[in-house]
Formats: sequence, C-alpha cells, structure tokens
Amino acid sequence: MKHLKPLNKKAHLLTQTDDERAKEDVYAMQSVAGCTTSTDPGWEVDPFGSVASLCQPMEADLYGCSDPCWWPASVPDTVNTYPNWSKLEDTRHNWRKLQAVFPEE
Amino acid sequence: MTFKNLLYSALMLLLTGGLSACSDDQKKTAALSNISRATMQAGRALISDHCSGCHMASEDGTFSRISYIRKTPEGWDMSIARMMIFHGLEIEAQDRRALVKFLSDTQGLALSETAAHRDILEQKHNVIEKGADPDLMAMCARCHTYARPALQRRDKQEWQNLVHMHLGQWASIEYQMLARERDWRADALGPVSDKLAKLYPLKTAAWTDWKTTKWNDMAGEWRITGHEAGSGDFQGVMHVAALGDDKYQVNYDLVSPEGKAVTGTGKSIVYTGYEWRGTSLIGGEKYREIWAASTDGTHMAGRIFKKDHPETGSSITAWRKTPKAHGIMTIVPSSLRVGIDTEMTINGLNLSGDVTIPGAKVTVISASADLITLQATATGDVMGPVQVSVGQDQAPQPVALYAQVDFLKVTPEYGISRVGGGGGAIPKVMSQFEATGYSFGPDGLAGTADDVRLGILPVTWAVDNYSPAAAQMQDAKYAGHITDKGNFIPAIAGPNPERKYGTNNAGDLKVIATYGDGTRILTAQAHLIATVQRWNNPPIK
Amino acid sequence: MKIFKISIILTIAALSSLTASLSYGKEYMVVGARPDKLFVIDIKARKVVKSFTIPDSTGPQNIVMSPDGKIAYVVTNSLRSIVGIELEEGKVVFRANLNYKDDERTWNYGFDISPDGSEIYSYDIPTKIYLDRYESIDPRLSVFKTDGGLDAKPSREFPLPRRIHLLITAKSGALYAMGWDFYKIDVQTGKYDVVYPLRHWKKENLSQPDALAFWPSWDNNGIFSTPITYARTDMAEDNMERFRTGLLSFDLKTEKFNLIDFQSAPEILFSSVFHPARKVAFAAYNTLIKIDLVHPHTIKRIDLDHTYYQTDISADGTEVYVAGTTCDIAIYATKDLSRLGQVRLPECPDMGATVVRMIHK
Repeated sequence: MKHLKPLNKKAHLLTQTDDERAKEDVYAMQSVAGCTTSTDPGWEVDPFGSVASLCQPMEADLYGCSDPCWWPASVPDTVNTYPNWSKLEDTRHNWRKLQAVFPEE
Repeated sequence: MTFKNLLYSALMLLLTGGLSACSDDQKKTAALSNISRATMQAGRALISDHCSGCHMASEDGTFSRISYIRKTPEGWDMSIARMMIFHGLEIEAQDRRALVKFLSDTQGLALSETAAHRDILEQKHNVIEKGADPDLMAMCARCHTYARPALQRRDKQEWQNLVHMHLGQWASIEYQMLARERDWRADALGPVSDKLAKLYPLKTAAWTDWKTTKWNDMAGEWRITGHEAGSGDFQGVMHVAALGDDKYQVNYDLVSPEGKAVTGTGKSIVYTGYEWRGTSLIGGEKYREIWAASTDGTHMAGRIFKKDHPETGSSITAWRKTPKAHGIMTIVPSSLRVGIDTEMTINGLNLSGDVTIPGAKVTVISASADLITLQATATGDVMGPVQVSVGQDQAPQPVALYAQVDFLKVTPEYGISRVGGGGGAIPKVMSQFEATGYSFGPDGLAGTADDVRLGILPVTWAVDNYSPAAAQMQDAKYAGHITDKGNFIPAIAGPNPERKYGTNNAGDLKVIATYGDGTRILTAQAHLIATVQRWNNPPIK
Repeated sequence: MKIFKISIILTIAALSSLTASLSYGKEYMVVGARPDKLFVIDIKARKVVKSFTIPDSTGPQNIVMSPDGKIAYVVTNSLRSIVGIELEEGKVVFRANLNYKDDERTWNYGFDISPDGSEIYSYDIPTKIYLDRYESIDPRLSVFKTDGGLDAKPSREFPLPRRIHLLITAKSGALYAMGWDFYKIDVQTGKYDVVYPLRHWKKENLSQPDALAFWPSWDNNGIFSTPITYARTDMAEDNMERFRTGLLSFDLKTEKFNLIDFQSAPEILFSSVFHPARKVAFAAYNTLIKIDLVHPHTIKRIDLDHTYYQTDISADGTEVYVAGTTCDIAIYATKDLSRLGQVRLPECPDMGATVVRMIHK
C-alpha cells in the first residue's frame, strides 16, 4: 500500500519479510473477514496484532466508538444509523442491555 | 365531440395503451424466460407499493437506483434492511421476503459472478479474503468484507452513488486509519469507482446468458456428502419435493461421522435459479443452508450451519440421482498407512465394477450402487498420492499412501473467537480448529510443492499464551478453553474485575495440536485472537 | 426521504438540585456525558457542583467555553446541533441547528469561539439528501453570532478543505484548523493557507506523519498539543526504534508550531496536555506518561485503571486529569503520577467521546 508507510511493528514486518508464506501470515493478521483493519486502535485486533492495546475494557470504549462512528460495521454508529441504539448509563455494568441491531426477518 | 366519439376515443386509447404495454412486457418476458409475465407484474407492483415513494418509477417499468444494481439474495435483503434502518421503511416480513425473491430472480448474479466470494456468502468463519487488489481492499474492505461490493454489479454512476452514501452516512470514513492519509473522497469517486465499474459492471455476458438459460428444478433425490469440522465426514440422501414457486420440502436420511443414522426435515427456496437457501431441523438441531446448484442442475455445493451459531457448520456436496449419473464423490479416509488394515468408505452414485487402489490390497465388505465399504491395506510398494477407481469411475481426489505422518498443520492458521453470552444479547462466536497430517514427499522437506496431504488426524488440543505480554495478562486463563474436538469456546462477555483494567476475557493465544505416533510426537500451532463482540451482524459481513 | 427536522425547543434545561452559585476566582472543570448531561466540577474539591440536562441531546461531544466562562457551547444531537448553556442555572441561551439548509444533513467535526466570545466557528460536513440517493458536498465553515438566540442562523459561511477535525482560535482571533495540514483561516473572507504541513510535510528523514486530534487541552496552558507518529527514514528498515512518537504543539499566543520527538512507538496515545510551565507534558490512553520537553524523553509511565481519552491539567500545574470513556475522572499528581483521587459522575453516565474544558470564574 503506497500511501502510508507502516507506523506499527506488525505492518512493518509485512514489508520486510521475504518468505512468501510468512508474508501471508503477517498480512493475515490484519484481515480476517469480520474484523476491521482500521487499527486506530482497532475493534477486534490492535495495530500490534494483539488485543492488549484495544480499549480496556471494550465497554469503556463503546460510546467513544459508536458516537463518533468509528467502526460502523461492528459497532452501531449513533450519529446517523442507530441514534437510539442505547441510552445506557454506566456501560461497564449495564452492557448486558445492549441489543444486536441487524433486523431479523 | 359527441358522447359516442368520446367513448370511441377512450376505447382506442385504452386498447392502444394496453397493447403497447403488452408488447413491452412480451419483449421483457422473452428476455427473462424464467420469469413469467404474472410474476413480473406482481414483482413490479410490489416495488411500486413499497419503494416508489422514493424510488421514481419510469414508464419502462424501471425504478431509480433499484433497477440499476444486481445483488445476491442476502445483498437484496440487506438493502431492504437498510431502507428500514436509514429511511424508516415499514414493511411486512412476507413482503420483504417476496421482494428479495423477485429482485434476486430479476437482478441477481450468475453463479460464476459469485464464485470468488462464496465463502463469505456461506458465512464461513475465519475466512481471510485473498486475491483482491490491495488498494481496493484498503478503500473498500477495512470495515466490511471485500465480498460486499464484489457481490454487487453496477455501472460507474451507481458505484459513485454508493460512495456518496458512505460519505453521507458515515462522515468519519475519511478520518479513519487507512483513509485519512489520502484524498479518500477523490480516490473513491474517481479511480476506485472506475475500477469497480470495470470489475463489476451491471451488464455481463454471464448474467445475460444465465437469464436466458432455462433454470433447473431441484426436485428429486440427491446423494449428499459433507465434512463437519471437528467431527468428521457424513453422508446420506436428500429427498427434495417441489412445492411450487421455487419452494421445496426436504427430507434427510444421513449417517453421522460416528456412524449413527440421523434424520431431518427442511424447507428451501431457490433464488436466481440456483441459490438454495434452506432451513432445516436435523437430529434435533436447527440449521441454515446456503448452497449453489451447478448451471446444469446436477450438483449442489455449499455450507450447512447451526442457526444459532453460524460459525459452526459443514461443507456439503450433493449430486442429483438420475439413472445416467455416476461417479465417485468422496473417499473416507483419504490416506492409507502402510501395513495398517483400514476400513474405507467410498461415497458415490451408480458405482459398479472393481475397486482399485494402486499399491493396496482391497477387500470389499459391502457394496451398493452408492456406497462401498471395504478394507484396504497399503503394501508399501507404492507411496504418495494414488488414483482410486471403481470400474470406469475415478475418484476426484487422490488417496495418499504413506509410511508415517511427517508433519502437522493446524487450520485455520489464524482465527478469531468472540466473547458472548454472560447475560448479554450477543452469543459467543467459537472457533473450530483441525489438524491435518502431511508426509514430506520425495524431497524429504516440509512446506514444499511435493508434500502429500494425508488427511485430518485425531490430536490432543491445548491453548497457551501467544506472547510474553499475553502471559503477563494470563490470557490463556481467562479467554476460554478448547474442547477435545478442537473447538475453542470463548469465555463470557463483559468486563472482568479480576483482570488488569477490568478488561474483557479477550486474549492473544496459540492453539496447539499434538499427535502421538508411538514414541514420536508431532505438534503444530495456530494463532487465535479471542476478541470482543460485534453488535452488527448482517448476513454478508 | 423525509428529512428529520429538529424542532425548536424553547424549554429551559432542568435545574440542578445544587443551586449554589459558582464562585469567582475558582477553577472548574466542565464535561459532558451521555446521553444529555453537562457537569460542572469543582475539581480541587473533587465535587460535582452542577448537573444539567441538555434538551434534545444524544451524546454531547465537543465543548467550547465562552471566554468569561459563563456559557458552555456543546455539540450534540448526533453532531447536528450546537447548544449553549449558561452554567448558573443551566438555561439554554443559544441553539444552532447545523442542518440549516433544506434537504441537507450535516456532521460537525470541530468548532471554536472568537476571543471576544461574539462568534462561533463550526466546521460542518454536509450531505445533500435526495429522495433516492445522497450527494456528498463540500465541507464548510459556518459562522454563528453567539447572540443568535435559540434558532441561530449563520451570519456567513465559507468552503473549507475536507478532513478537518479540530478548530483552534488563536488569541489574536485567527482561526486555525487541523486536517491533512494545519490551515490558518481568515474568518472574515474565508481565505485559508497551509501554515504547517502534515500530510505534505517535507521534514528531513521523516515519513508522512499520522495524527488525529479531537481533544482540546489548551485552557490552562495556552498551547495545543497532540501525540503524533511517524517513522524515521534514515534508520535501518529492521530497526523497530525507527517508529517514533512526537508531540506536535501550537502556541495560541505566538501562533508557532513545534515538534518534539520523545519516544519510539510502543504504545498508543490519544491525547496530551502541556504543563503550564511547559517543561513537561502528559499523554494518555491505557497508560499515563510524563514527558520531558526540555530533554525529550519519557520520564515516567503508569498503568491506568481503564482506557481514558482526554488529558487536561490544573491551572497551577499540580494535577493532571484523565477523562472520557466511562464515568470517572481520575486525578494524578504531576510531580510523580501518584494517584490523588477521582470524581465519579452522578449515576455513572458514560463520557464517551466528550471533551473536558477548564474554566476560571
């Protein structure tokens, strides 16, 4: 990808390695279907290919992610698509009340 | 004007109006030979009723936006869902289903147009999309899969409309990582829309051909084989009865990987003349089926998965039973160890003749037209992959003769699971692993072109921390456990007060398979990210 | 498609149960929380002194204070409204609907106020909503007079580049915007120039940088700062130390920019704040770090209890605050990052992406 030089170790390893299979492995760490590759810091996987640098706990990050609409495929955005997704308080304790959004048939 | 003249004029208008409408329909019906005129009219009426409030109807029967896009059944269903969520459309479930059927049939994709992305359509878990233009991946696949746009067909203006929708609905799209360092909007409306229009245009020969080919009826008897990851291979028969309107009633007579008889019933709808979508109750469990029929209607292939856990499923192949159809479908197991008497099953249709396995002694135990059980022992004269035949029929995959398992591979090499449950609305997403044995092949090296795949082996499974950081967080302790069938079951959702930061039961793990062969121990690993939930789970991720 | 039109609400925000006046000469922290809360906190006393409900709000995010510290302007209502609330009784004294053009829906990603408090500058990203499609159109700067009342309309508007995420008014009244590059905008004519390139920077031996700043932390120090990452192109490809974190700063008085490289990039940092004396700075996300600005390096690092987004600092420079995400503001000593205490918002509403402002009454 020409535009951005890798600014994290994992992405850096991708441009570095010669072995094709190893290259495939590293690329794979950032692109399992269903996971976002916008790792700032990411929803499923962080920029270092792990989970340690995701927001801790994830519930602390929920509204910081849904309100500015950062991972709309995984976390309902409350700006336009799901403005009523949740009016929960204290998400770290009340997260169980959050519902899935895709309308079943 | 006299009243009689008025009446005459009105009558003429009516007739000519009616006639010209007829001839238009005839032209369209001739082109869409699989859709009756009545179905066409009913479908258009449905769109008119539910959609023409916003989507302008034209005199030629088309509707703005809608008529200029082709999608899969799931794609159309997601479009309707979007109309409900974004724009407040209210629609009854049966009308929604009817619209999905009509749109899939009249503006669907030909089988070949979906081939590269069926894994995603089948809701397979742990898929890594490959082969796409990396720039298109960065532009179009960092939130949802690449399959989403790749399973659509549009001309450039409609691709641009899709870009405008993204910018309007999610303005953060220009600010997220992989977008903010470039002029996202200019790239998306310019070269990216150009590329998408070239790769996935509205008009294609494949679709024109498929529309004008007579679509097949799925009613009949089908021989089915499948592989359930973690459990093994099953086989049996499906009895499919037509209910009309591309709907079917199905009965299953199967034998489980453990050799038990399992029965079930189901219903299905076939969209676009080949996209089979079924719901079934088999062995007391609820399943969904996403299969595709071949263009000649003689085969089906796809995935059957648990309704409540789509990540848990089996790949299947089905062959239509006809007097003329014959062949070998699968051979279980797919390898023979030298000197070991092994019971094998050959699944097929209308098999007759001698069973030949080069390099092995064969004793047939029982044989019917569709299933042969035998005992085979590799003598050691021949090593490596061999072609098995039953009379004139040859097996599509080789059987491998080998002396010992040389190395293992765990698949998927990289997988994810997601926490769930714990009182919350989102179920856990599990991750199923399998271990495959290989022999080195003639060059004696692992990882080269002459490696011989021996088949899935029974192993013992374990998980451990992937890195020192994971060990410090004790990820393996908190993130979940793996069953003896290789299924990783994540821990429950929610912040865990026992952990640093009160963090979730997420973890960075390695999955280890161990195979014992006398005194030899072989191991292999995979990387598992046990991560957090998604709240948005549409059929095409 | 029916446009959702926000009706004009002429109601007064709910009165707080605490009706005591805000003291003069005191320092307060102003922060929002979901879905419709605004709090004034006597931060040194660790007490919430005012709790207001913002009418017709779904998630307050950015907050800008009037220069006299009396009115908090809050972006809310799915980034479509700016609501001005006076902080004695929580009365709504200003409201601007950013969807002020027919058939448009906008999204705000930055605003600030003139030094004399008379004008608000709003960076809006509009989309034209047709019956059957959307059309993304050019972003704009909308200027609202703060005496515009409860249905304020812009007095002027200008097109601006895309992808701006922060507006900062310098002491002189000049408006700066951070996006692909840093722009300086003439608020009378709308003319803008690149004054500090980011995407287009030509710094020797440095790759294109990455910085995404949303959080204001200049109230008590007169200087904006943000963590910024880039790579050294003069170091070996396999040297992990080549990935760098710096602090980019902008002095609101001198209007000068500065870049300090202080560590490699082992951790994510969302925001930073300078100590008023400007010899050290602090940054946070899952950790809180203290940075030496004179001999650039990281002095100390501690783990936080959970993720926080925003950092800020007391006027006397003794306390550093971390906020955002959940319902607590944690307080640490600037001297040694020892924990001094916390303020837990009543009933624990999540702050999410809201910002913190420091005021002196």
